[in-house]
Amino acid sequence: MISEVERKKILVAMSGGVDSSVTAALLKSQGHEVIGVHMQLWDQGSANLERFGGRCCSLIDSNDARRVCDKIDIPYYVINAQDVFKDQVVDYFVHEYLQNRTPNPCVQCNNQIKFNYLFQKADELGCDWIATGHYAQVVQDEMAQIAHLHKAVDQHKDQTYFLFGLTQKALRRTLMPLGGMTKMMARKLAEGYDLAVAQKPDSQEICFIGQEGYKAFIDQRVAPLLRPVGLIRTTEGAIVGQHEGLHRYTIGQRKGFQIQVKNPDQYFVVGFDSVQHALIVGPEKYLLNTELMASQVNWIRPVDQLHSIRCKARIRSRHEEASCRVTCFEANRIHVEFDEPQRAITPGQAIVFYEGDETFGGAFIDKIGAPAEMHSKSSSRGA
Amino acid sequence: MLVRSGIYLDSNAGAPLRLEVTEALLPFLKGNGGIIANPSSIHSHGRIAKRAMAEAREQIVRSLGERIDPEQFLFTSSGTEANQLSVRSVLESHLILHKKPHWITTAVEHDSNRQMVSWLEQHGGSVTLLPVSPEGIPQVENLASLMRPETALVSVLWVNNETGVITPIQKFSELTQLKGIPLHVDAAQAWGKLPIDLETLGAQWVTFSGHKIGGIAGTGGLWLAPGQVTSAVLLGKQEKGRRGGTENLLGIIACGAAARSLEPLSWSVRVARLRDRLEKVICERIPGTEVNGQGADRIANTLNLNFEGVEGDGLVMALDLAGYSVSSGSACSSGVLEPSHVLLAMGRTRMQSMAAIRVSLTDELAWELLEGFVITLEKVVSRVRGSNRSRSDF
Repeated sequence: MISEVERKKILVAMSGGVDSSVTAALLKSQGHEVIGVHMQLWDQGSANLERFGGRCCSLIDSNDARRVCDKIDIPYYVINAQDVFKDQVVDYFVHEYLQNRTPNPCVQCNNQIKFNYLFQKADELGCDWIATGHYAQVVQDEMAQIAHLHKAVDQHKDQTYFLFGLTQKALRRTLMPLGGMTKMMARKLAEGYDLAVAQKPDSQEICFIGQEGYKAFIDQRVAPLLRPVGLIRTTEGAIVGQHEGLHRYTIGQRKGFQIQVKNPDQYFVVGFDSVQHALIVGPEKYLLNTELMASQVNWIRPVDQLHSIRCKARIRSRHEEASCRVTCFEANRIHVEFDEPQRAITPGQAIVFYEGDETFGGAFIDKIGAPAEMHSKSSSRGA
Repeated sequence: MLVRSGIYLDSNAGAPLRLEVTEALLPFLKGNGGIIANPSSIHSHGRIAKRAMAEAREQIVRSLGERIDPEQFLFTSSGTEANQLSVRSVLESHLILHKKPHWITTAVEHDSNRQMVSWLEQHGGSVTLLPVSPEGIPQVENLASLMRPETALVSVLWVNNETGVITPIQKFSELTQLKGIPLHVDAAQAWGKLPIDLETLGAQWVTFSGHKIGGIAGTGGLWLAPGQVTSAVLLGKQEKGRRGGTENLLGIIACGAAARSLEPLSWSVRVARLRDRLEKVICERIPGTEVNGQGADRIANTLNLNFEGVEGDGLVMALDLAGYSVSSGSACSSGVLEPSHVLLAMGRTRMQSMAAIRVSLTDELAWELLEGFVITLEKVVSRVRGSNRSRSDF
């Protein structure tokens, strides 16, 4: 047990899954004052149980979280974050696709909802700390008054990619107690605490999209005029087919479109022509690029922006880290040059930077290639 | 067993069990050796049960007027059931004749009534919601102009559960009687808080609820004017065939005992004094306090508050953590707070409608306890205001 001085008032963000449940139970057993909060993000009406059973936002999840809180005897509240979630995550998700980008709503949700809106709630409830069940490690450097974000011990479960938007202000009062253990240990602990969610399967996919898939989700919400059909062109300019709206395609995709060429299975989506609403397809070599521009940069801890930064980066959540050099520009923009060409760099996705085990920042990819003033170095790309 | 200490200021959601109720239930249970017989049984145990039920019905109707026939009062499981049974009974009698009935109700009804709006629309009828003034008073002056030849029913909440605002019910009944349209009154929050005389009320269907007067949740009631016919949802011989299912005997005895001990006038005098003092002190100590329903006639125990700069659903939770149980808008099945439709109808924004709190007193209470509440409220409001302001800093 901890001393009265160390006893913290902690808001635990509870999804109803095993990870956040163990987080709450663990902190409670350490003697902290723990308050469980579940964020209702998406309207129950459109998320009926059959389609969404057992996933984020369903009634089952909020009831699971409630049962865990009853079990470990802590107060439990459901917070209405539907308006802010729709504004900041769902609308963003749709708009990104309409701009021919491939968004990552989970990153956006962490940035805008979990580590922004939730801190507001923590302040309202008088909680000094927030704890989540993320697999990542927060390292507080009390001497320097800086918090660092490190990868989880369990490399397979590491979620730092989704957390690059964390600010010092948030991180200085954040706990992620699962970062130091494996998923198997978390499940063992859940069994030890006799939590009903111990064997609950992990959540997958995007929480607000049901079995209809993201394409139908967008089709339902956007007038056909704003997602027109158009032509499919090769990188050489030949017209080879018709597409059903650019939001239905992602860079690197090989299936899901019909084209009249000799070897169709050697063609990939390599870009978009947003002026003529054309889909650009080409052989795999066009997917390989070494440079990109990104914006909305967040540095988790202070970095020297006057010199270029040698580090490693991930350009999507399941991407293997690659060595690169980052150059900072004004207006929160950066240029990244990889040592080796990377496959299918995709605008809209996050690029996240690592130095050893530490995640120190990230940004959203805007375009492939170098900035205009460095045009001589620009890479070859279809569009 | 979970035991939470704290101060309960949420009587409109469920009033604490009255002492008189415990005093009535315990002897009944002890005297009958724990047998809660079925009132439909013909043996002696059944007869005892039936008599207890008849006594409760007597006690209840005596609180509703001098000469009310107990047989016109039927027990239901809840105020919700009574509301829906009323609306369904009247409108279905038109629907089965392939008519398209029109129903007028208000924008500030209890959710149980609001549920029937989509029900009727799905069945081909139409609904008009009578608007309310910014103080929350249903605008009866507009009622006549909304009536149509096919208007089959007018439903109105007598006392608003959220704001405590009292509907000028007599004006509704004058007009509906004049036009020959049945009037359905949801009196769940009025019972025990206002004097009621069903004989002069001029309504045909009136809803009651047991746990709002200090009985046990699970018992509601419906009074029907002579000549009204229910179209039972639950078929059975109980309640003269108007509502099937074995009666909830303990709940009914509790409801009777609670009804017998109601004294709306002296209660109002006692409680209004306390509520008014609370309102005054809060308004003085917390600048930017807005009292919803101020200026309208309100029942004695209810205080509904917004605080400038406080948005969203944090206030009720923060007060709970500090040991005070107050209420807010309405919670859906997951426990998430939704913006109050009542406050929206009164012109508040979505965020304000979620941020309002309702304090509802049961009866007299030591002022020191309420003073402690005010001090906590002041602290919590200033904390929430600070957090709402600093939100964009992250």
